[in-house]
Amino acid sequence: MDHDSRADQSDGTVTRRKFFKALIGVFAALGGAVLGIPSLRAIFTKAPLRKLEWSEVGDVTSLALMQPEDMNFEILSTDAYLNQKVTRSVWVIRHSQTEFTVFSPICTHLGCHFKWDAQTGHFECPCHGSVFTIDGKVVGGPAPRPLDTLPHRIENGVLYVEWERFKVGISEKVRV
Amino acid sequence: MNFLIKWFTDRWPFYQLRDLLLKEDIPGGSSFAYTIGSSIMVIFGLQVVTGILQLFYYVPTIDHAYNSVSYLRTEVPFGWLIHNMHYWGASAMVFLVALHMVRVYTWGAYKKTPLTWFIGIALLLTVMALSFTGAPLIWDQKGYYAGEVGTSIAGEVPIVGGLMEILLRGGHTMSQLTLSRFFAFHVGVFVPLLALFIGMHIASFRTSGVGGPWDKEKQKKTGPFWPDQAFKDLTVATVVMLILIALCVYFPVPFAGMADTINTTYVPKPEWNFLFVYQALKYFKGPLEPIGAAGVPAATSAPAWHSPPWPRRRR
Repeated sequence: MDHDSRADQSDGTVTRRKFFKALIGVFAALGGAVLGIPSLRAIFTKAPLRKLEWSEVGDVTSLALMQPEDMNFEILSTDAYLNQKVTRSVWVIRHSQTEFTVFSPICTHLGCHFKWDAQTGHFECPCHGSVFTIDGKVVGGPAPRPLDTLPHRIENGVLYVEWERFKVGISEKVRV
Repeated sequence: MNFLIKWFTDRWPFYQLRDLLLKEDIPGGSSFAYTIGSSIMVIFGLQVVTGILQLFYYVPTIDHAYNSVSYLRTEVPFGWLIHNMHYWGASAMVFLVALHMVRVYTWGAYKKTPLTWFIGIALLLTVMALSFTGAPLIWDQKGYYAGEVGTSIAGEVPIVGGLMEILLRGGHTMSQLTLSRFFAFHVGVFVPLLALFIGMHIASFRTSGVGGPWDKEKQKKTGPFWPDQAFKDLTVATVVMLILIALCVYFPVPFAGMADTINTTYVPKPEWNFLFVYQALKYFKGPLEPIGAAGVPAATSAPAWHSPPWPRRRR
């Protein structure tokens, strides 16, 4: 038998050794908390929401009616410590002379980019086969909600869009 | 739960390893004098944890490195603490390693366990290498010039200087390649090397034993590592940790501004642990400069190499 267990045999009374062992536990727990809490807080944190801004997408006077058009434009992106111009794209559908719908190009299922299939007249996501009508309604596949529309306005025939992103995989449209 | 523990320990030597680490008889009994090494271990753990946490935010590119560190320090919860702990932990590491060596030297323990001592010198040099390669990673004024001057010094080492400079800089000037290399050396080379040497150091010290008190009478009595010495180790480590937190709160690292080679108002000065080289270069000028750059640092560590008995073939 070693001296360690021999010293612990006096049950009921707090021996010097038991006291030390308890203190070691307290110190270790304290150190763990002092290190652990900041570490976890630093990792389980999210970047702040981006400020919404109107971005110029382009001239839409020549768009054909009911023909979804994939339009690219630049936004000023604030991504943590990176401030730079990045290219985004949206699906623009012209319903009439003045009525437009702008869809975010991101599938509401798991975030892939869907495409317009002119033959079937549907939006189709290549990843998991979600199918949407030209109005954005789900007609097939696993998508939990219709396509996400983006706020837009027309000025002198030029389309402006407020670019934003939404949480995928849920039935509500939640900005992220 | 118990059956799972038994299932695991039947197949994996948990208790054997625990006993190997904790069941040690210390000549002369436990002492606060023997707590420095374990505090260094605790700081090593701290450096690894804060280092990994910084990797979650840091990018090693010259256009974003400084901003990514600033983002960590100003936007991320506890980011300021993580960065400052790494900074002060590094200083504490160098300081405690020096103190540890002074302690072992004073007790004369190095004479009884020369291999442990030699591995200790390797540890000191690795810690200095980590200190040197860490500073430029922020790519701020201070770090940039620490890298610039440090690699220039390496370039002045006779014969191998040119090669060393290319190895460290990835060319002849400070550039993106230099930052990538410092990052790779700091994270990928010297940290694993330090972990390896720490393992060897502990294995060697558990094989050759410890020096113990210099008084032969006191050597006859022994005391257990667990929990006597462990308690003292943890007490000191806790105090060291509290001091580090206080340093982070009251003496945070200043934001030195992004590296800027056009600004001539900035006067570069190295960290305290490299000041001796800085000063030596003021005395050895012109053709004598390699003496300051390479001779002085080598001479500083010479007594450490020379001290313990060297291995000899028995006759």
